Amino acid sequence: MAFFVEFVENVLDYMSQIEGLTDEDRATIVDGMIEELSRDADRFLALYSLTHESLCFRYEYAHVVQPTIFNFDFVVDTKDSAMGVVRVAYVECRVETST
Amino acid sequence: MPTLLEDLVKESSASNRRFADRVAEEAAQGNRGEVIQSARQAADRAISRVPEAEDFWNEALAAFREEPTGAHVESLLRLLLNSFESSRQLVQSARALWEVAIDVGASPERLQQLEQAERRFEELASEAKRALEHRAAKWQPADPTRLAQGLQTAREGKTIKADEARSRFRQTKS
Repeated sequence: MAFFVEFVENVLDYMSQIEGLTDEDRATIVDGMIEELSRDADRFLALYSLTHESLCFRYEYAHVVQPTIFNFDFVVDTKDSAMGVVRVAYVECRVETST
Repeated sequence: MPTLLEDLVKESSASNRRFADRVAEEAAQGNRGEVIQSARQAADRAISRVPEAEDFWNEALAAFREEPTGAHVESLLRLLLNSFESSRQLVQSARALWEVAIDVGASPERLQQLEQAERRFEELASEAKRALEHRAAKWQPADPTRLAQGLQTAREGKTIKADEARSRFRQTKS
């Protein structure tokens, strides 16, 4: 089953404020997320669920802009996954710079 | 009480390890007359483990979707990890036996399929390992308030569709 992927506005706002990323990087990340989540959200829900009731899961995504790695943690809500919709509700980002 | 799936996975791991040990013995002895036949049997056996592993994994994913947390989930993930690693060991034994067979003059057979099988077992083992690490880490958000607000907004359906999200950063690029 392919899922429609939606975003809470705050998630995109947060991403737009991360220093060191261009808008092209951000567009690439959003594209990558949509592709992966639309295909594999049910697998992620099974493996990386965050609640016993199984209503959301953690989704990790890494983006590299040499020499920096942007490690994203997203939380995806699956309350309406039976209707084919998953919603990205939260994001935080850790930045690592390789030496 | 263990589920039927847990018992099947356990039995498969034990059988894989026994067979891999037996194949390794065969490789060490290297009897010319038998090694080619044994290499074929070992390759058949190792490659036949792939669909079985896929079935185990798909059944487990279906069960985790219903009930994603709890001790029994971690126990099944550990059993699956052990099973995928034992299957990988079996593939490696079969490949080692084929090297002996080739040394005594046999033409290689099914080596590409063995390579594909090994890659798939590695992928499955890595997925099981990551799921175990996720459960052990007990991840917490850096900003629980923002998470709670985000979930509430998502559940109210106040969201941006994929196409609009895509275009947001493309529009501002120029």
